[in-house]
Amino acid sequence: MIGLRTYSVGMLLALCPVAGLAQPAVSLASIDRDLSRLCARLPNAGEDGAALRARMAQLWRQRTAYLATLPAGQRAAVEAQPSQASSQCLTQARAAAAPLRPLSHGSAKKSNSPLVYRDGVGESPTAAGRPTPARRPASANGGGPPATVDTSISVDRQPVSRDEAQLTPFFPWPPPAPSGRRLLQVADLGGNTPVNTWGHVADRFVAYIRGGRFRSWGFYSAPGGFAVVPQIEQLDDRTGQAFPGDERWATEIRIASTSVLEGLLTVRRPKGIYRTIVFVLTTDPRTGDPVTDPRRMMEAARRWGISGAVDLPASLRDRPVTPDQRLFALVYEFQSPISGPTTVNSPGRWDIDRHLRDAGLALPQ
Amino acid sequence: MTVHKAKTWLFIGWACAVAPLMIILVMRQLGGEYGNDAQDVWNWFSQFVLPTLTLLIGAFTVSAAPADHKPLDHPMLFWIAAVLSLFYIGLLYVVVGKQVFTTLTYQEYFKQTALFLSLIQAVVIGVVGKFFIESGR
Repeated sequence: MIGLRTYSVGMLLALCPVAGLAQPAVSLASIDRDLSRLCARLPNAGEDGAALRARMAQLWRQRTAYLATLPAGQRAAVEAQPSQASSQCLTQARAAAAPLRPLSHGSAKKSNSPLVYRDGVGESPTAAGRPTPARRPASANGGGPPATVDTSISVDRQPVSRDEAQLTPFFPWPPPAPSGRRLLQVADLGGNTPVNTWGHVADRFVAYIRGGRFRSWGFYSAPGGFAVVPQIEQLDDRTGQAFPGDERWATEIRIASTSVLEGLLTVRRPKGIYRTIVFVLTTDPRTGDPVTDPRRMMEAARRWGISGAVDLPASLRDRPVTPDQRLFALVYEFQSPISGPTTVNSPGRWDIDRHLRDAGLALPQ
Repeated sequence: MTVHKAKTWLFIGWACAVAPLMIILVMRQLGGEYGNDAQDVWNWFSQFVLPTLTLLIGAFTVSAAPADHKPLDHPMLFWIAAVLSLFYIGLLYVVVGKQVFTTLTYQEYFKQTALFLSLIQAVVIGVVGKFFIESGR
């Protein structure tokens, strides 16, 4: 009996460090849960929006301060856990907490509204809440641009107007090297009505995407314009064509059978091939360097099509299309084997025109 | 059934059952399933196949005894050893077959399966060993 009691006490003592680890995660979870609730209320907040944003800013600061107090190892462990709040929500909270500052250059001239600097435009959802690392000086890379884009950190500080701030920024900017890209003309998107404003372009995009039988898409802000991202699709590994029916939208890897016999006859584990198409109207048509963390990039890409705004906010719709804006499409192909490393095919296995055609978004030749 | 015949059946059964498993693992390694580090896979295979196989080879080749041509004194022991061996080898196939569908890394997967396989292997070796000892008397 004594032995059993000693064993039980020993077990409890052994579990104590685990309990100690779990405790901070609970308080972070409660902050994130509160943030999530506020984010859900935000769209219909009306006049209470300012109060909600203030509360979100307060929670964001609590979150950041809390994470900063944790030892590096524990912070990484806590951050690795899935957050209670969506990436979009965390970005909104971060934007709410960012100080408003007048801007004196660049696109400020194009907008009549006061501008804010949004920090961490390129932040990934799991990186949200981390203290933003200092940017490396250009000289750190021999004076040139960095060799690769780390999607886990802020890539660029984009000045955005209050109007643009209604959209979640498309991260990161410039977007990482895609699997394929193509410059578009407005005429490529179909339609006969004149295209003079962002709203017209957005309408063309939506009609074009609907033509591809996409069920969901998200609008994001981009420098001097916006981005539209339809839902991620799963492709057949052999043909590069989207799976028919609901399997096109499945995020889990499609496996014909998981029977033991099938497994014994399988030499390599199955992998999922995914495709994300991004349409952008921007004054900054750069594309960045290869992705360094494809897994995180794919996690973000899975949310692009189901988060973001469902339409361009009214305050942005009347903005005129200017000659310095460019319209282009980017395609990202992801390969993700079960429990294996995710990769972004760059260049892609299939041509962008083939991707667009397969997605029901064929362009005129 | 004579002792010799029973030993032969056990040995041949084990060898024939384990060979395809080995071929599957070789094919997977050559196909790149295990990347550049297949050590954990072969450690797992050696750990769960070689002990019993070595016991069978040893008993079959070295301990040839005059009693080999006598009928089995304890046929039930032979059948228990055979059924347990079949169950154990079947389990090895299930583990290898399911490996490609698991969300764990193959190293972690094989490590986790080792937890229950070692227990079952101990019982199998015990029963097979008992059969050889009893049949040698």
